[in-house]
Amino acid sequence: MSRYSPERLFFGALIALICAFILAPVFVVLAASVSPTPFLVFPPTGFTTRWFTDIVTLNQYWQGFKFSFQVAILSTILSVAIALIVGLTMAAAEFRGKALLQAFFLSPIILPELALALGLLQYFSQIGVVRGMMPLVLAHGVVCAPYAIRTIQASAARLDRNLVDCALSLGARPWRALVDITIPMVRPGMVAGAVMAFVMSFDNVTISLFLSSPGSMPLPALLYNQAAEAGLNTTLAAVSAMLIVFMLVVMIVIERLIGLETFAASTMQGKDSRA
Amino acid sequence: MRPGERAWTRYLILGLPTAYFIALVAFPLFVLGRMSFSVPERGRVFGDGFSFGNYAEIFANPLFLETLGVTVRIGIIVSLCALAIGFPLALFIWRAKGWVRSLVIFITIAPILISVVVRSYGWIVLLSNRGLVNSTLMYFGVIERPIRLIFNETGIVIGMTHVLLPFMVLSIMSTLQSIDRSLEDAASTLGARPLRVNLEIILPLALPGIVSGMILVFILSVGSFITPVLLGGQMVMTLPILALQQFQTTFNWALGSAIATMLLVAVLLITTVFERLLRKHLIRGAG
Repeated sequence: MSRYSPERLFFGALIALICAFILAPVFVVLAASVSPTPFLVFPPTGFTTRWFTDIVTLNQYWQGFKFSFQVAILSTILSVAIALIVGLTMAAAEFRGKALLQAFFLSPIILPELALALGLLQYFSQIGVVRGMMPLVLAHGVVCAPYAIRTIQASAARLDRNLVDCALSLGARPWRALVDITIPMVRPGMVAGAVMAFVMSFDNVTISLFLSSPGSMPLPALLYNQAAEAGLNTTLAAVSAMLIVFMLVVMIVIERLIGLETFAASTMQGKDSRA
Repeated sequence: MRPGERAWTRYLILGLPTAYFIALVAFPLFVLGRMSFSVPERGRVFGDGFSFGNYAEIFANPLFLETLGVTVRIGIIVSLCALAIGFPLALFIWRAKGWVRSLVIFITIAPILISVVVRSYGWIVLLSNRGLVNSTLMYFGVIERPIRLIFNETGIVIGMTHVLLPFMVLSIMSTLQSIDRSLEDAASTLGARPLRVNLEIILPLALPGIVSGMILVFILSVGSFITPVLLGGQMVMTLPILALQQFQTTFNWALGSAIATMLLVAVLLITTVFERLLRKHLIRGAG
């Protein structure tokens, strides 16, 4: 097969087209945020930054961003803690119903999030939980933890248990072995899981929409509400552009911490245990 | 410390996340299911008592069956589109090396990080009547008046395919990785054209990943409402939107719970029964 056969060129062009399809909506938001017209038209009509000065005056978006960030950080800590317990204890144990429990822990990935959100809404209002940050974090934790569980389990499966047994037989206390041997060895899974949990919480709309009070709403839920009620306007495009830039920063952090390819690989690991 | 003791504390520790998941997944879903069998009351969001009334109402209403049809149709088309785009993409990543591979993986994974709401804005800017695609086509005289690409099922399919594509690619990639690469070389040495190698050797071997990818995309698509609301623009009714309306506009939580419960049960059935059956069949077929 020659390097530049027609088939290869055709296949390459197809992949370029697919990549363009994937990137198009993201680039277009960035372009729209500096365009003078609310709808991006061809030929382009100019350049403006006035939508960004609009955001500064509209404090609610900044409040929403801060709230999303706080909720995401707390949900990530909760998810990783839960995932560490599940990942490490389940890897070492054999018991009846293990597969069922495993499926239960991963179920929020495939369950319709709307059903869970509507159930949580009714459940919380029945037991008298007041809307606020803590109930939201607890609910986000449940939908984010499965991603961290998956990545930590993948790391724990490669863990050499002999090292832990060595440490224990040399007289280390169990928690010493945990902190000094086990946790450093599952660190890649922890980092990938933490990033996934953060993203899943930060981008969550469905749970946030039903469990947060109108006064303090995470940014994506706020954007969704405004778009569903009033449609597109350029201020929203500018806020979206800033969210894209924020996520680019997150991607750079991922690249520096574990590398994007490792991250991609770890998000698909253990996928088959889902079924 | 004896081994038995360690196992005992382990189960105790595992009880913590189990209790958390029971409290925040199992209980809420139970409450949802219970509410779906309650009798709606005027002036109150919560229903009371026990009846099959909500389900009877759903099935008696022709609007519901139509909505079910639309939801399933969108789900099937989206999973076919995701396959058509995702299979070549996964194949390319599997074969590519070096920076090209890293770049395409980056492009495939990156959208996962960007909010679905933000991406919907992107599609509105691109596809609306005054949007980039229509204005470009009109500028070059390809069309005279804008073609309707959004606020209909087409818009939902485009937006949803974009959102769910990474799940399809990751699913196919996970089976491609276990394929013996020498099979490909053997086929091309024997004179098979690349397209034939892809379709007759690689595709059948990747079938388990394709099937679970399609099922995953289908169930994620029938359960989602953000993209359908934003890109359907109130013009298209799907099951999640119908449930949402019962909660947000008509305040009939009992009926809304019944619709959401049916969605939940359907997804559980598809993932447990359907996937298991298909897998068994596939393995027998391959062996």
